[in-house]
Order: sequence, then C-alpha cells, then structure tokens
Amino acid sequence: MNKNSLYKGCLEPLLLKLLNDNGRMYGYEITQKVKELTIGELQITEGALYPLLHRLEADGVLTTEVENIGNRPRKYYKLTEEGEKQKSHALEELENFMRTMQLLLKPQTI
Amino acid sequence: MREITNNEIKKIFEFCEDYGISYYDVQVELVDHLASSIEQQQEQNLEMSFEDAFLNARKKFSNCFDELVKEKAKQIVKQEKKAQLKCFASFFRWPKMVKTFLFIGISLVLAYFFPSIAKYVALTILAPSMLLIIIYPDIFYGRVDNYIRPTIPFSKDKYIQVQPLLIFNRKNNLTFLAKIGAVLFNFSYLLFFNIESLHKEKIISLFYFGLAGINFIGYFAFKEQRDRLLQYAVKNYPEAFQLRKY
Repeated sequence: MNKNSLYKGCLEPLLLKLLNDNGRMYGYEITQKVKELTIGELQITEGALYPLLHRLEADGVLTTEVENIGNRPRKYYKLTEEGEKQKSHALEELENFMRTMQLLLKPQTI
Repeated sequence: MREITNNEIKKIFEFCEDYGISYYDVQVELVDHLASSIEQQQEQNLEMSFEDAFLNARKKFSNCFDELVKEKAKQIVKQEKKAQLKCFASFFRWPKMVKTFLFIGISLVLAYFFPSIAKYVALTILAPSMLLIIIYPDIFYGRVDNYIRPTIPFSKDKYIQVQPLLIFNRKNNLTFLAKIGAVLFNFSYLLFFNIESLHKEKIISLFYFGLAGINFIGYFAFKEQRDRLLQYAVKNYPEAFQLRKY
C-alpha cells in the first residue's frame, strides 16, 4: 500500500501544528520542514499542499500576508484565532485515531 | 546562501505566463516555491545549472498547475461568499443595526403615511439599487475569462490595476439578493392582484420600500467588503497596481 495515502488524512492536523509551532510559514518551507522532521519519511507533494492551504484560508482557519524578500514577493500563512481552536481539536482527533489504530494492531500494549 | 537573480525570477514568471497562469496572485506563490527549490538545489550542488534545477523543481508539481488554479478559484468564491454574507449580517448587529433600522424605519413610516407617493418613490429607488447590485460587481470584478483593469477610487489618488488578480476574478454572490428582489418585483403584481383590503395601497408601498431597503443594505455590504478586498490587494500585491496621483 502506498504510504502517502495513509498519511493523507493526517496532513491537516500536522499542518496546523506546524503553523502553531512556527508562527508563520510559506509553502516551500512547509514541505521542507515536514521532510526534515520525519527524516524524509513523509514528503508533502505540492499538488496536495496548496489546495489544502487554500481551502483552510477560505474556511478562515488560516490568514495570509505577502512580504517582499529580496527580489520576489513571498506569501506567508499563519493561524487565525479560529485556526488555533481548530488545531487543538484536529490534534485530539488525530490522537484518538492513533489510539484506535494501535488498539486494532497491538491490543496488548494498550 | 545562493540567491536567484532578477533575470531568473523573470524567467520563472514568464514560464507561468506561458503555462497559462496569468493571475499575478497565483504566480507569486508558484514563483517563490520554484525559486526556493532552485536555490536549495544549487546550494546543495554548486555545479547545477539554473535550467536543470528549474526542470527538477517543475517536476515536483507533476503538471498540476491547472488543477491548482481551478481549486484556488473555487476556494476564493467560497471565501468571498462567506465574507460578504458576514458583512451583510453585520448590518443587523450592534452598532450598524441602528443605521439599518433607521434607514428601513424611515422608509416604512413614509410608505405607511404617504402610500400613493411612496409607491413611486420606492419604485424609483428599487430599480437603480437592483441595477447597482447586479451590474456594479460585474464591472468591478470582470468576467472569468476576460478580465478588465478597473480604476479604483481610494481617496483622491487612483490605483489602476495592471495585472490580473484571481481574488478579483470571481462570480459575485451578494447579487443573489438583488436577483430575489427582481423576481419578487416581477411577480409582485400577481401577488397583490387578489388582495382585498382597505389598506391595499399601504401594503403594496410597504412591500416595495422594504424590498428597496434590503437591496440597498446588500449594496452597502458589498461595497464595504469590496473596499476591504481592495485594501488587502493593494497592500499585498502592490506590483499589480499603478498609482496615479491627481
């Protein structure tokens, strides 16, 4: 099974956590940070990242600001107040999901 | 740290144009992503040429540029619809509701006490308010394929839009209020035809004034949200505008 399809559903809570920990981030930085934190295990594709960022922005979870860095503009994403609330909820859901998975796979460890 | 040159940035912008991505706000994000990737590759491999690094960076998008633009356009419509409805709702909350109720209240008092004149006054208000809310957004936003470069009044100076922006290129949503108004207006004669009442005239004038009031509030809300969007665009994408001083 393709590991990326397993990670797909976890992308949103992970992204919210990253933005919460780092304040504001731009698209490329997010892909590199995830790669670095997971030692290359999880690589977010551009085709998955940007639609997610744009959806979260439309939902009011993220807000954006554009800043000039040298010779080009850069768009930064950060959490809104609503986004901070959603982050806690999304992480809680993810933890529940992981507990359930562990329960199914290794019942004796719980 | 290796920094991409102005000429190389220009090449990436040109690539976006050639690829059919004409919206400046979409280009900005793609160009920065591709440029960051090129910079990182060349940092790790000093021998790597710009062309090779650019090709590698593009491959990561696996030709999904069109999908990205379509998806973003969809999300922008959703975002704007929400913002406009929120703005419309704010006219019915403190402190703006004072103005709203005063506006509708005075109209309804006029409609009640002077029904014979009020009906005609309301009709003359209703028609332009509908036109404003239906036509004005189209003028401002332009059509999906055929964008326009509007002159934007902000104080005395004017900003001329010189680059197309996807955030301005949308189907407007508040126009639904005017469309409902137009339908009700068209069917109103049928609606009132069978009313047998001593107050028939008053009821009709109250209806028209109410309709005109709601349409106008929709227009005010749209205008407020439009100004907010313009300020965001000028602040974040100044390269898309040219300032003309008068």
